[in-house]
Amino acid sequence: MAQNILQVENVKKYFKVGKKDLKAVDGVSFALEKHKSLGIVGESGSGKSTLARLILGLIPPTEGDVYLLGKSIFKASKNEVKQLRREIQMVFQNPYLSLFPHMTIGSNIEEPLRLHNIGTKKTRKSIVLNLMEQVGVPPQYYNSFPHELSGGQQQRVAIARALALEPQLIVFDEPVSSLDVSIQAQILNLLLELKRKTDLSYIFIAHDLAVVEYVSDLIAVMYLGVFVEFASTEELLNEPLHPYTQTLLKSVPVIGGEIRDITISGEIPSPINPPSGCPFHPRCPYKKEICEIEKPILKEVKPEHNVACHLY
Amino acid sequence: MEYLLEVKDLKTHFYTKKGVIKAVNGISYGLKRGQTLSIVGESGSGKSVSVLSIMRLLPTYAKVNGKILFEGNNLLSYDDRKIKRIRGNRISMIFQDPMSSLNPTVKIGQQIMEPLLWHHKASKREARQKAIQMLTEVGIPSAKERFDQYPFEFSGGMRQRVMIAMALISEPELLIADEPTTSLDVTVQAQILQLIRKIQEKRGTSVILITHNLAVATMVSDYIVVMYGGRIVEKATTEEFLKNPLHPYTFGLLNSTPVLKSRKTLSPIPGQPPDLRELEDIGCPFAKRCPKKMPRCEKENPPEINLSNTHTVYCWLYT
Amino acid sequence: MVENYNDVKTINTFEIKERSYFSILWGRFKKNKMAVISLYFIIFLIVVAIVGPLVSPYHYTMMDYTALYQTPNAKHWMGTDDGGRDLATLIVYGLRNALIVGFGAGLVEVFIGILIGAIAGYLGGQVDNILMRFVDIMFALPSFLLNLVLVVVLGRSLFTILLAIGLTSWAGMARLVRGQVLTVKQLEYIEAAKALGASNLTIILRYVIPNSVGPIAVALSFNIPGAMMMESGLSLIGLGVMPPMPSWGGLISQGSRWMLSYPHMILFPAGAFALTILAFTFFGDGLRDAFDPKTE
Repeated sequence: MAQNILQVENVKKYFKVGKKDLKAVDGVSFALEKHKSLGIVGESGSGKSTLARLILGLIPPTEGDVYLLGKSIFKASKNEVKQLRREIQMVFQNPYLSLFPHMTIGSNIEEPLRLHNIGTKKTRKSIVLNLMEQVGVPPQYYNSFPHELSGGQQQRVAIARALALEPQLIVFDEPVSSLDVSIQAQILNLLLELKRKTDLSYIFIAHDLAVVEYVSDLIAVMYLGVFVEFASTEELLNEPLHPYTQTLLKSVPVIGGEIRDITISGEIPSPINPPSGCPFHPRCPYKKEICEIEKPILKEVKPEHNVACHLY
Repeated sequence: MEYLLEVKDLKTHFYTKKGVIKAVNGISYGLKRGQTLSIVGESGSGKSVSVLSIMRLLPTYAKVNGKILFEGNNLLSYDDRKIKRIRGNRISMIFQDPMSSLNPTVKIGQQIMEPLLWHHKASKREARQKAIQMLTEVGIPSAKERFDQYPFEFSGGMRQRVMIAMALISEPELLIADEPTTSLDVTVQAQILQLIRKIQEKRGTSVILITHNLAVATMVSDYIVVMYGGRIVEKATTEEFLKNPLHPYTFGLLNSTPVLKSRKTLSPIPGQPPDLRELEDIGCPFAKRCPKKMPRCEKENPPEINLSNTHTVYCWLYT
Repeated sequence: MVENYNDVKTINTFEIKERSYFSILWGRFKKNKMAVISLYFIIFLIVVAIVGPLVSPYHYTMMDYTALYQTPNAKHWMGTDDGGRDLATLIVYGLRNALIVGFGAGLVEVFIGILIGAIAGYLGGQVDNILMRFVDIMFALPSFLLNLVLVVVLGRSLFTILLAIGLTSWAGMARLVRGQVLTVKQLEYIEAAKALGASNLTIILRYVIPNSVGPIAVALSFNIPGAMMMESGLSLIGLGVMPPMPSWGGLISQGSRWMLSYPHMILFPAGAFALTILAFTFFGDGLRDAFDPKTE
């Protein structure tokens, strides 16, 4: 287990909505090895952003635990948590909203160093300029403010800020979905380059399967708060087992492709009133009786290929 | 008549305090009856403004020049009263965000009937009947009951279906869809695209689809127009476009789009999207980011190169 | 793989221009000409209020029965009133009082408003509920009437008047502050700060407060003239600062009695009052632009 950088054990997060529970994350377990990239795909309402915040320890779980480098981030002491914070960082969907609006680009990137008392003012400045070069933000933006940059540049700054503490793991929550295609590709290539040059591991959360495929070694498909399938990227795309994954694959628009008949109808149900049994059964074309009653658990049906479905 | 809609040298400029923003700067294209035309572009390309100009849904400080021929009549010469008779009646539009385009305090059915009632096309009873029929057609189950529900009782995909029903109820000749699936999940997106196509085949409606997603454009349209920085850089039938894309920007877009299971390496377009305030009249708008830039690209407007009757590229590379 | 790092290579001359947040604010503020003029005018008013009484050869208690109802002349720039007092001197003292009441009441209001608003917004829950109901009650009570009562109870000095005005007008500020804290609290950059490892206190001091200052400052710049008006209102009905200490409300009410025969007696105080109120309002407008990042 030592080589696992992250271990997530049956985490659940329920939010109170009136008198009911909104089950945003309903039991997710997985482990991530060092220097691997995991992509998490899911539609809106699948709970993927909540899972990201749980992994970061930004919100407490209703149940379960998250271990970073073997240490529980929810049970660690205050000092330990601060140390662990240096090892895990997050990049958000909207860079404009996640950068400090009243600080310059330079100060934004320097902020984590300042918070953790790293270096002197001078050394921090050279670290910041180095980081800016690493992510491709021209140095003349050092004293600009976030709103003066384009979306792509802002996201590069956010990545530089996340890199400042040299974390071992970065969680990217939809980092390119607010960017134009041409800029999106720049950021994706930047991630690949970072992974090649450093020993960074990352979790990449997105709704676009093609984007996730491009940057991930492993892919987990999330639906209504659970992983329905979890496998290596190649396995998952070439041999999708879960009916939902299969539909997802068919739904991705392809250049020069045809609109294919989608075998499922409807939309993801509300996590406040989730279906009984398998969360996907109301939309599933292969529904059996057991699917309405029993919730399938994620199990390994082939080496390194896990699926939660009664068909297997 | 060959074209249902012909846009000729359309220019939409915004006169703001900080200067003139040339959002659309001389574009021309034609749409044939019963066909789908996609306008593809990134933020700042002017794709949305170009269709809002057709619908005349722009603020007063926007000046629109050129010609918009709808069945041969120039819409730009129409006064407000005349354009209102066209809008929502013969040309309808659906928008990206179905929630903010629906009135939250009015029942769905009422909203769908409105175009018919406004344009005095039907009595209230007929309109009601037609609205229910329309809701069924766009795939809303138990339409009769849902007729009396409010927008918040519908999911995102369902709301977009309602918008489509509303746009189509007056049986327009032209449907303009501005990023209709961008805010929807992929599985729902596929359903909505399917629906638009099915309805189009059945009714023969012409469609203009505005999208940033090249893949979606190639999947649903007969003709593709690529815009950058307020101008068209390339236009072609989808077939020609797929077989022989020519403009460096088109290439850039194709090479930036990840394709499932292709294992291709993305080659992004360098630089940042254009700043609308800095768009110039002279030179190619893409020159700043173009990997094949030549000295003349920044000084002269790119020539119009016709490779066929339907395939045009605006680029000095092909002279 | 081609690395396309934008225009890093094309731009090789670069200088790091030091820019602080305030220089940015000032840059935006400057664009609003009326606001800049107003700012200078307000500074001018403050200087006059401080220096005026020191250099004036007259005092507000100095009556001169040989110089009643004089129109503006070389000795009395704005003429004299029915007691032969120098109108300019009265206006300057009135200005001093108005500024003291305006800024003083503003200070009281901001202090209570921030305290209650921030506590309610940050703690939330039951505390928030109770505090905000209290704020609602304060809002519902007619503030002028409440002021009357307070002034009667506390007495009629400059200090008690500004205290009374401050005590009756903080409810709006509290609501505003609470709203700001609630908004900022859930913004993504606050979450980002948590992810970076910032403590709660750091988050409030470094991110929440700097980003809430704008709307508070703007509201304050609109409330200062409000307090001045309230004081004049009290003076008009004879419950303002105690005569013979001049106040603008008192001067205007006195001038209105002689309006037809000696119009200068109302024109000068009313004009000065209107200009001051306008200056603060324009200044507030400029401040609002300055804090809006979209103004570029």
